[in-house]
Amino acid sequence: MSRLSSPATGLSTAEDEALLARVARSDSNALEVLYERHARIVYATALRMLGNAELAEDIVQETFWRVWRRSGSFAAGRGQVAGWIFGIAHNLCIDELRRQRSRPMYAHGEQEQQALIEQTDDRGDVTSTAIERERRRVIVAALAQIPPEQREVLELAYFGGFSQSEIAQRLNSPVGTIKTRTRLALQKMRDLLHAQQMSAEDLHD
Amino acid sequence: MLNNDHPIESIPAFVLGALDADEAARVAAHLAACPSCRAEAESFRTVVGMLPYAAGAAEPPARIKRQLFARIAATSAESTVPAAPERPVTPPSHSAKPVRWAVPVMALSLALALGFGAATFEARAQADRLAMELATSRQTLGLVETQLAESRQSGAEVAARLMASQQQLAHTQAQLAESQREVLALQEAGQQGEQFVSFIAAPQTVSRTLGTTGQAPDKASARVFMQPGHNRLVVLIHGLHTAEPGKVYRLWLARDNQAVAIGTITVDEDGIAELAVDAPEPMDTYDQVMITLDAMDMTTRPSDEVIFEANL
Repeated sequence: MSRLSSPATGLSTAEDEALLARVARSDSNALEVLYERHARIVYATALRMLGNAELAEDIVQETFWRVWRRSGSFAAGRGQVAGWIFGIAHNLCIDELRRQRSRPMYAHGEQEQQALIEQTDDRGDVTSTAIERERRRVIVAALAQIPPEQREVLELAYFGGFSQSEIAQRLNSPVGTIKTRTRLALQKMRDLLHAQQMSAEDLHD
Repeated sequence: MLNNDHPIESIPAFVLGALDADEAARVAAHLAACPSCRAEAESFRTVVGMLPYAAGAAEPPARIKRQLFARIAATSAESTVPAAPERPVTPPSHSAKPVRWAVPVMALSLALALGFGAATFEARAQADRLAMELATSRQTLGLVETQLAESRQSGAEVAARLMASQQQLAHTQAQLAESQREVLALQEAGQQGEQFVSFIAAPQTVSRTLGTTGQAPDKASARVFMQPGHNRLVVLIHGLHTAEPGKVYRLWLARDNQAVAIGTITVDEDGIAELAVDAPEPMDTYDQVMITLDAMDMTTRPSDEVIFEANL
């Protein structure tokens, strides 16, 4: 399958894997570099999912603590280190959300989120790196190209931490419909990112 | 959902972490055994790994990083001894720094590591679990308390009713005991009466009317009943005055001028007295009977105050 790697991101991916290999040998300096590279995205994602700075800070620390302790479990050559780190953070956020929702006092009072594709570019721009800005541009462009109802289920699933059956309940639709929308959304996004990668490589060849 | 047994429709949701636990487990099991579905999942994983960039970037507070590395330094210091043989192999720039850094901050870092970091995160998770358990326990407790209160109320009612019943029961038992005593007394009296009646009515019974003396009241009469060859003797008296204080009516039997005190006779308010008594010898061995008004303690010989007398 295709690895997402423009010349800039490709270098970054190779560097990430080398850094993670050093982390696996208990090199905390390498972890510090990985932290500098990815903690901002982890923090922003946790903020968006949980809507709470204190919880998001805990997610950041716990995510990189797990990277430190579990670096050996990353399968090199299968996916990106960044995606693996984000996956750890995402799972922690989902756990936190499900914990919150299982609380007896939980009142379904989640804050209204600004749609991802309408979000202004201001936030984090001061500190975000060129790679981060590039990746953000690519993913937001891809999200903008899928139908709104597919984007909705994708956002509810990933950033809302809702299961397919929960989304079906919220949107008052059959679970089968939600699953189909989710699949179509990810397939379209995959194709768009693949095409983007191809054109980027063509551009640089 | 299944396409030729491949969970094609569920794989994207699986990669997003958006399947319910049981379905996620089924898909994971399938992926472990199916290379084509695994490849499909991997292709989505690249997309999903890009999604966080859509949320933008935000700098976490600097102390988060400090706490993280203090935590790491604390555990590295802990594992220094077992890791020692490997240390010289790794370049000094990599191995020396964390250790050197760890020493001065050891005390602080341990405190930080314990105070924040995993402790905070896991403590919060645990606190949530405990809060949920507590909420459930509180609910259960509330329910039990309500039930208990209801039970107490009905318990109090039952206890009050029980007490009343017990009182009633005690009262009834007392009444019953009294009634039983009365019944016994009546039965006794009845038996005595029956004895009298059956004795008097028996065909072998003979009777003698006792003669009155000048000391007997005008309408006084006495009659003895007995059976030849038997010791039993019954005396019925009418029209006698109650004995004055210190005196008593006594029945005597005599043979060969030798009198024997047989028993005392109590006269009731109606002037009636009855006595059933067994003589020391069969009645036909005696030749005289008399009833005297005697001093209470005089039992050796009858006084001169004879009220009734008869020859047998």
